[in-house]
Amino acid sequence: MKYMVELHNIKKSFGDNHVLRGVDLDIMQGEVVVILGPSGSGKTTLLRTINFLDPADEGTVSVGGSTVDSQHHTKGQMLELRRKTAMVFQNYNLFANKTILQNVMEGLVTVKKVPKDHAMEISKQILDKVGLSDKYDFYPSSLSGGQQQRAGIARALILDPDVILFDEPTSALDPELVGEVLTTIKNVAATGITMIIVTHEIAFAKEVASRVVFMEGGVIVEQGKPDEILVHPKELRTRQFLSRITGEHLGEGEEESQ
Amino acid sequence: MDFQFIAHAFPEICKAIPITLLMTFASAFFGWLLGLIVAMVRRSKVPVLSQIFAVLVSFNRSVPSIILLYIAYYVVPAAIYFYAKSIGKEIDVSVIPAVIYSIAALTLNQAAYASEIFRTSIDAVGEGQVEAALSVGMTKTQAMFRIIFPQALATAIPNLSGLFIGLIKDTSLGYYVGVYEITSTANIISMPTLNFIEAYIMTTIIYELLSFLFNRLFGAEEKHLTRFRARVTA
Amino acid sequence: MGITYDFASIPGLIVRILNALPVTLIILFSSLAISLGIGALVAAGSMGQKKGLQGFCRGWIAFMRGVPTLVMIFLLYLGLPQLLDPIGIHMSQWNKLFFIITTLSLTASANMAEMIRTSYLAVDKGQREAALSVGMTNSMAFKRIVFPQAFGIAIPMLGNNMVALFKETSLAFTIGILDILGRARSISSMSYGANKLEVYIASAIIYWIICVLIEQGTKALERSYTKGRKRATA
Repeated sequence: MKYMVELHNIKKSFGDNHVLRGVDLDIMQGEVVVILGPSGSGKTTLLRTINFLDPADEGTVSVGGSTVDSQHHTKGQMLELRRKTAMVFQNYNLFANKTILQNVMEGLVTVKKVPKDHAMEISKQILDKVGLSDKYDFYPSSLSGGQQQRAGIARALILDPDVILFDEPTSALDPELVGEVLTTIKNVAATGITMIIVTHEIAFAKEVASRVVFMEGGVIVEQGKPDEILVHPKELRTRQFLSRITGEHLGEGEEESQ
Repeated sequence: MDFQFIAHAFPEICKAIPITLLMTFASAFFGWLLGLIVAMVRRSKVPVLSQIFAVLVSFNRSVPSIILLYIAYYVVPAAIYFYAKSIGKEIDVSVIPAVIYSIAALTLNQAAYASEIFRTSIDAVGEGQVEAALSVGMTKTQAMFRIIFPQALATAIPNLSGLFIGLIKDTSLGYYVGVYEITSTANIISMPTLNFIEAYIMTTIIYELLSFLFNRLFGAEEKHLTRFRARVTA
Repeated sequence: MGITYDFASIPGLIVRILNALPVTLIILFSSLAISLGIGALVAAGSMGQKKGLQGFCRGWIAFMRGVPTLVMIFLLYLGLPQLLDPIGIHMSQWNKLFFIITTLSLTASANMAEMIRTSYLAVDKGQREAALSVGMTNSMAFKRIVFPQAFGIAIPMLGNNMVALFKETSLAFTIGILDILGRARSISSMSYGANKLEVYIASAIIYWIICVLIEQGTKALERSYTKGRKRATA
């Protein structure tokens, strides 16, 4: 299997709105791909087609060698994909009626049929790693946003997925809590797991991404190494977007050299 | 105030409490179960069945309980008789206790209201909860039972409590359809001697006690079910 | 079982029964108005400063919610006259409508009070503060800012309460009033109890249609109230 994640010709519309207009993306194992773009560009939708939360209208999704056609797929195929992926949500979406420990154990016990004792042990270990060792029996409603998101990351990590999908993991956080979550994500990246992150945090992307993808209007405009895209973007649209976000005027590559 | 009457009548009226409770628990049990099924069918938008249920729910919520009880009183025995005939058996429906017909009517009534309560409380559970459950690979069924229903139930309990108390009060109509529950008994006992005030004050007290008891029980259950919620401090 | 049913007679029965509609409406609107008045007082009392009054109002609401309407009817119709006879008030000569309207006003006042309380508390406190800060008096702030918003919030609850109250009027027949159900039963007894089931079905249809009308009216009111705003609330 050459690529861990392969997306071919992903198309999706909501009524008249063509959100994804035929996107192709191949991701190798261990890559950390950051997807940037303005709102409405389709980046979140693209992410959600991978685990079929919003199945694409057309196109194929492959994860870890299993290929599923968006148009003709069985429930079993969809479940298989969901069991190979894990997602971290913008609004954390921790199971409100379960404690932090139960949240992390839930996927192991219910889906992967891991025996409860073993599940509890490794769940505690992972919670320790994300710095929540004193919050096992707390309910999400009593945790801060940053703590909840770290728990959400633990819940995704523990499933040992082929790829973790991050949907704007820090967008809903108060500024002072963003740092702790970004640090946690960096640590996850260091384990070598394949990650796809949709985010606005450009500086973070520079630090952690192995590849940056810029999307706009439902297509991938350009992609490449962080240094290339973020510092010397080739496309005008990319440059416009980045300068709006960072407030900097990025080097106009060709013009400068004249 | 005729205390002799009270001393004699009170135990008699209390003897009717079990049948009131029987009507209540049976109707609530079957009704709420049926209501949950109706709610799920309507949410899944099953064609034809959803529409039929919508109409039946509307009917049962709009028609006063007394009329539903009367209709059941005539329709259910006839239905039982004709069904038995169709499979070759001749049943003497007059031996069936009238309470069965009342339970049938109240069950449908409860189902209609319960289905609405369940629909709104299930809808009230944030969509993110479902998505998170699916994202860790749960099937829809697993997500429903482990994550959605517990949270929906917590939201539904206050309304279910009100529905239950309303059901207890509806059983008082049993008098008109041949059920000797609390109110009928009070009526029958006080008629000959005209001790209405005594009888109905006692009856009121009994119902208030039942209402108080079940309010407490439901309140405690609500506290337990919502223990995952943030406690409002201010 | 030798009973035959003549369902074709139902539409005709509906027309005949509807002659009693004015009686039902009189009971409904009188009880509605009075219960709202009592409910407003009770709601205000339950949110006030005086602890004693607060306790009384909470108790009133709990009491009225726990007693079956039928029991209340008997208490007031059969019991109260007995109580007042010795002191010279001969209620047995009073119009029966008095009894049913009083009963329904009392029992409905609890739900009205809860509705008023809930909708009042749901209006953001900042609204009143903003009103005062531009120089309005308390009563102006209430009339122009708080009440309109509270009313918008209350509309769905008011619709539900109206439907419930309308259904409760069906118990007027128990004291011999010829409202919808009373008329239905008298039609049946005039033909020697021949079409019992048919008259009940006819009554059920009448109640059903009117309830649907009330619900539609409520939705229309909600819509017109939300003109230009996102919701009927703040």
